[in-house]
Amino acid sequence: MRKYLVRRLLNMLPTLILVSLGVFALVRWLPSDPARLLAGVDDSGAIDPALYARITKELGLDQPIVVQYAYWLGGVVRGNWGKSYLSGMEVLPQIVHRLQFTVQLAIAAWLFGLLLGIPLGTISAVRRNSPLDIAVTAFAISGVAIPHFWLGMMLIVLFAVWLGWLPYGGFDANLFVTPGLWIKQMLLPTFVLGTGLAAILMRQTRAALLEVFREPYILTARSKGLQESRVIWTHAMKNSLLPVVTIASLQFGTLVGGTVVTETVFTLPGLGKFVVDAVLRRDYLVVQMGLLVLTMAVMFSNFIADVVYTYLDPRIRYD
Amino acid sequence: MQSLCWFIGRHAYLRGLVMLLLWSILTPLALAADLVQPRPQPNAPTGGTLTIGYMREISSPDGFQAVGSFDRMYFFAGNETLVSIGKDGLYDPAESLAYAYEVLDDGKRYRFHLRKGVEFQGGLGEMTAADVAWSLNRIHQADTGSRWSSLYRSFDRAVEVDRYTVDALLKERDANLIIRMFDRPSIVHSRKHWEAVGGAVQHKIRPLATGPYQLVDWQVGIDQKWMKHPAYWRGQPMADQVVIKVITENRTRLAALQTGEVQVAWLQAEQIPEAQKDPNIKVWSFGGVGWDGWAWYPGLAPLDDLRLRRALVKAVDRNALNKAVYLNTLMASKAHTFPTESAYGIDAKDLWDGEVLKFDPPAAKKLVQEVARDKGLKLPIELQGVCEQRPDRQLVCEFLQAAWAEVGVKLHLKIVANAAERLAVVEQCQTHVNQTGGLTVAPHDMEGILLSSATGNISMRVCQGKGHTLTPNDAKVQAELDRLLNEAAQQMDLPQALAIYKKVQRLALENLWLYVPAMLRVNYIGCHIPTTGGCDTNPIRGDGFVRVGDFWRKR
Repeated sequence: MRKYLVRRLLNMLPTLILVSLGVFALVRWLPSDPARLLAGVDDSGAIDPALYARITKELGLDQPIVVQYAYWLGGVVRGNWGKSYLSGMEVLPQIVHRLQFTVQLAIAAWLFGLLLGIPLGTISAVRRNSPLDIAVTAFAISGVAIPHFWLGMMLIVLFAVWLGWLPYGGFDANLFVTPGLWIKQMLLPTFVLGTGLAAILMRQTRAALLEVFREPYILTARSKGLQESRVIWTHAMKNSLLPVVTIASLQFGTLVGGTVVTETVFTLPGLGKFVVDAVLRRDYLVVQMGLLVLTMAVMFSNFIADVVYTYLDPRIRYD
Repeated sequence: MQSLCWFIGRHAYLRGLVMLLLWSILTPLALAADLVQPRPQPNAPTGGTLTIGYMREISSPDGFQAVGSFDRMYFFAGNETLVSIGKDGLYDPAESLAYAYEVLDDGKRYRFHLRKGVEFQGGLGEMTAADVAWSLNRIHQADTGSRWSSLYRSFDRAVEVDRYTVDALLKERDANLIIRMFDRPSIVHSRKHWEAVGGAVQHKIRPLATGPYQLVDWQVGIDQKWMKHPAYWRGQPMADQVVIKVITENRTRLAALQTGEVQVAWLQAEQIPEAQKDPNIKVWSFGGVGWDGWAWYPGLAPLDDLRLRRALVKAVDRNALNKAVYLNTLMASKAHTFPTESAYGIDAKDLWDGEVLKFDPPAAKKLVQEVARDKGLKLPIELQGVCEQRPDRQLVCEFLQAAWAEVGVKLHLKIVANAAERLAVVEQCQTHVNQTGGLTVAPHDMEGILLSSATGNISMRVCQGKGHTLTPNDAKVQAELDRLLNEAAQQMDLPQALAIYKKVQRLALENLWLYVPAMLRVNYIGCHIPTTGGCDTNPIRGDGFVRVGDFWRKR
């Protein structure tokens, strides 16, 4: 097992290098360049060519692309992630600051999705074709279909503007210092981000349980006269959880990388929004590092999914 | 003899002493008569945190290095210019670091008299003429992050005369120097702090200046926090802290204002009807701060034909454009760059409502057909355009595309991410139409586009010899514009200068020269009345933007 984990971790390295190459190339394929943005269009709508040339040189953008890549990758390895072209601030602390928030939001939404999706999926499977099942299925379809943007906006208008119960957005709380404020500020974004996951997990749980319910050993358990709750929780659930856990783990990576809309609507200091803003500003270093970190988050969540999968299903062996 | 000399000497000495005493008493009295006292803060300090909702990324809290015109919304929290613009758009000595100025040497020397007791933030000491001269001299130094050199062509250098007097020396007379200085190039920073942090790059992140609030934290894309500057020269700032919150989503920003979590916010036009329904929100507007329309390049055929330019203007229903794209929140221009009501504005109703420019699609179609026939062009006449990937801008582009298609012109649009990319496309010299806008607050903004040497004059500055050629008639128009603009910039007599600027606009409009300022922009500011002071009268300054220091938290 340990050998497998080490090998799996080492396998991530070439993937990361490939991703870094891809990200670097993609960012440079974007039209325009940061020197133009930094030089700034003046009130007449023009750019000073001398200033533009100077900034290009200062940013090293006049160097061959291979040199730029090597310089950047060398810096990343040494822990020197460079400075934002536009603000002049160090990239590393900015990404760490935003990643902290995004991870908090992703964990909260993930837990929300698990706590809502799995029980609802179970109820739906147990009460198959009942009005409750129809209601839960309708929720699941809505959860997948409703855009986060629209849902977030509606919730802001309802809970912040009309009812005044919750803040419109923003985040400056600390879970351990100001837990009440943390909950208030996280509630709506968590709901918006977690609803989609809950819907996916609900449908997956329902399908998996229904499949397991058809297995002979469930029939045996029932014919032994076991209580229905024991049949479900002890016998059916454990086997039906395998695909659910896999999807839930993979979804965590998606959540970390997919918070941008929620962060924008609720004005949250997350990494997704930070990277998107940087793309619009052509802030190359921030985009490159942000995407690399997000990729690592997805890879890491996949890795955790593999580990959990191995733990849950002892039949799986990785030699 | 010696005693007599001594007596005479003593007498002269006493007389000198008396004169000196008199001079030392009378001079400050005389100067005090000229000194315009600082305008006190509009309200006693109420403390608390004042939160401002800003609509886009903050470029820099250092006003000198901030890049967008909207950045004035926040950077005046901490930065101050040598001469300030008042609500009437004129020099307001009571809020300026220079309480007076004189024009000397036939307009080639401006002498600024500085206030005493203006303290820099962070305990950096009193602002002196040395700081002011150094600050102004950054304008022509590229390593200071200055982008203002071309705007200050006439400015040579600034020199310290004494501790509280600075001279700005010009290469040639510039009647618009004071107006130019209303904006960020004349922001005064502390040289000591600039050098202590290591220059422009670090100063861009943590500037210190003389304004009412001092920057303490900046989280890119999130917010800026400014604390009050206790030694502020106009008295104690009214709030303890100011937070500039970046809320890019328009509806969220309005929600933040409606809940009172934000006191003052920039509002997008489409949010205005909703905001006006809310009894807790007061919306103020300022019309004509800028224009929106399009630029085009008469050097690039077939736009070298004035008939085609006129046809394209006549094909556009500006009222429909206002309604469809801007929800009637802009105004169809009746003049040229300035609103008609402005001192600089012209009344060009005869052009806009007459044969020349009036919305008249059949007439426009006829003109297009004439041009096609005379020039041997196929219909539809094809034009290349560039447009920014921004909802309002794209809608305008699509509107133009549809309107021009009706009269036999096909506009091919290239969509780009931002203004810089738009400019990059235009500078390839193959683009006819550039959907854009600009400012109207200062006469010298006209120079930035209309002069043949202006950075915005693509046909003349960049594309001459690269496919752009002016017709003899258009070359005459350009020469006349150059002559008039140069004359206006040197005309110290305001009424005469105004007359020249009006001629410039008339000529540009008649010939649809370089840009068509079809619409005048309106800026909107919303205040949450229950929590915010400073909104009883329109808080917007003559440049179309508010100053953070004008608001306070109600107790």
